[in-house]
Amino acid sequence: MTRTTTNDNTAKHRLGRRTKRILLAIGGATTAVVVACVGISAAWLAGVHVPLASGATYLTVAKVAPISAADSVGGAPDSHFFILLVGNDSRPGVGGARGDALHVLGVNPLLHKASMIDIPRDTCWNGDKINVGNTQGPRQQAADVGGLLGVPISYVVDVDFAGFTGLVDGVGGVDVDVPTQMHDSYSGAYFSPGMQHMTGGQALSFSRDRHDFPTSDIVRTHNQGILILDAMRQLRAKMQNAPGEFRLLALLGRHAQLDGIGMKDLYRLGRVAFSLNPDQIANITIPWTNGGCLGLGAGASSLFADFRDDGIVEGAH
Amino acid sequence: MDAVHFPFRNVRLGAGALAFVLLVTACGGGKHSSGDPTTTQPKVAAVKTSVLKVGSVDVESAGPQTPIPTKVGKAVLTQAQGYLDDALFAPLKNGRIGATYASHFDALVRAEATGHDQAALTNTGVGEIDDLQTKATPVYLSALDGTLGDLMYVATNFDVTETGRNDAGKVAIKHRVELTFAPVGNDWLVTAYRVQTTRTLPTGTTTTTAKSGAGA
Repeated sequence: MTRTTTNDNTAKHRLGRRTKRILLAIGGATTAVVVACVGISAAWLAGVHVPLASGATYLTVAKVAPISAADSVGGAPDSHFFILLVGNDSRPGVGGARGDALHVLGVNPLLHKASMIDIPRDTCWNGDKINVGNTQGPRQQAADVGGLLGVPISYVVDVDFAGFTGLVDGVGGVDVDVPTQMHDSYSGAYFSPGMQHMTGGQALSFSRDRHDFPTSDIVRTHNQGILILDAMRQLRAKMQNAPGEFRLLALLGRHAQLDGIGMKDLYRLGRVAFSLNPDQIANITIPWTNGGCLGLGAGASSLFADFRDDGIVEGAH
Repeated sequence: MDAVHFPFRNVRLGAGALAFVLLVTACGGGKHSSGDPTTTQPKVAAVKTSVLKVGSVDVESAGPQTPIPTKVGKAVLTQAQGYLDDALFAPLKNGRIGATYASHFDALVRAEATGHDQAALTNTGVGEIDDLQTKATPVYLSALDGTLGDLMYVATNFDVTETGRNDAGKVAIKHRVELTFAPVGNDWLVTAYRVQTTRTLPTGTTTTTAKSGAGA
């Protein structure tokens, strides 16, 4: 009896300990789940990008500097301003995010005009190639490009390979007027001249092709400008009424990491940007000279001064 | 040897499964679709006005979807009706825009709406007409929610036609009106607009367009 009682007590003791362990495990797991969910929710509410909640991040939009007094309260910009568009080369296996596509859009809301300056990535700046600045982030790239042109950059839109393809696919592809035959195995660009509908991957190949051209990155940079303006034409067609504007802004809001800029800024900016006729936006590659890295060619200073004063390059159209 | 054997291994598996279920359930609380569903049909109570009535409703969202609250829908429709009465109907009735015309616009566009855009936004140039008859299509309400599901903008799209006669003959006017509203304090005021107007008067036909937010 005594022995049986001892066995019973031992079994009960073991059962109690195991039950405690199990309850502790369940309690711990529950607590961890609750803490994790609360943390994720708090982060999301605080504006931190949470992939499952926010969707894929295609691009970063950063507000670098205020445009004018009206801008601070979400009003339409009332003076000319400059937007830097960056395509960086960050992708799996390649880090650093150098700014391989650099385009500055000067917008003059009062004149309803704009011009775009294309900057080859190999352009010299402070003893290095100018695209290196983006490895320190879009704001540094804006400072470098702004320094080169002598203009204050107000906004930066930065996109990597995956973001670029996702963005183009997200709007249903883009129709691009291909200027010349392309047959480049490095970039995968195989296009005939003329209007071509491109997926995100094809648009990326078009934007990367430089081996087809004797002047390499110079032509590539100009082609990137062609793609940007063609994309603007198609987006503009969708921005002709409020529902269309809201649809695009919602898409952008779900897939962009916003830095210093809110949805209201984007709304105002979008109304200004898409009131412009892309057919009247000059696409100008900066003058250049050969060297270890590209130097500025004759006429660069006067071009930049012309661009600086009102965001427009006069006489380009 | 006859001690009760507690199936610890099975219970541990069960506990793991329970924890997993809890994780999925708890994290599923903030449900988001993985695609890009952007259009919903939130319920907005029908707002009875003298002319304007709600037609269809779309909400686009950069985050969680929030339908248009009824009081916001009413506020927006009231302001749109006010614009209609003050800007379009009053000049045809008595030759002047309504006294509260400017109050429908927020500070960002008021100067434009009462300045260089006023002629295109109103019927001031037409003068009084007789036998005034008006029609308005149902209002298409669209809205934009921010990344936190906060309602940022509500837009109204509708067409208005006015017909009548003046001393010289028949008058027919068609407006395609888009008014975008943003919250200002407790009110919702026009913060952007697109209004295209075609006026067929005895002297000829003219088309004007007023669009805010894109510079002068």
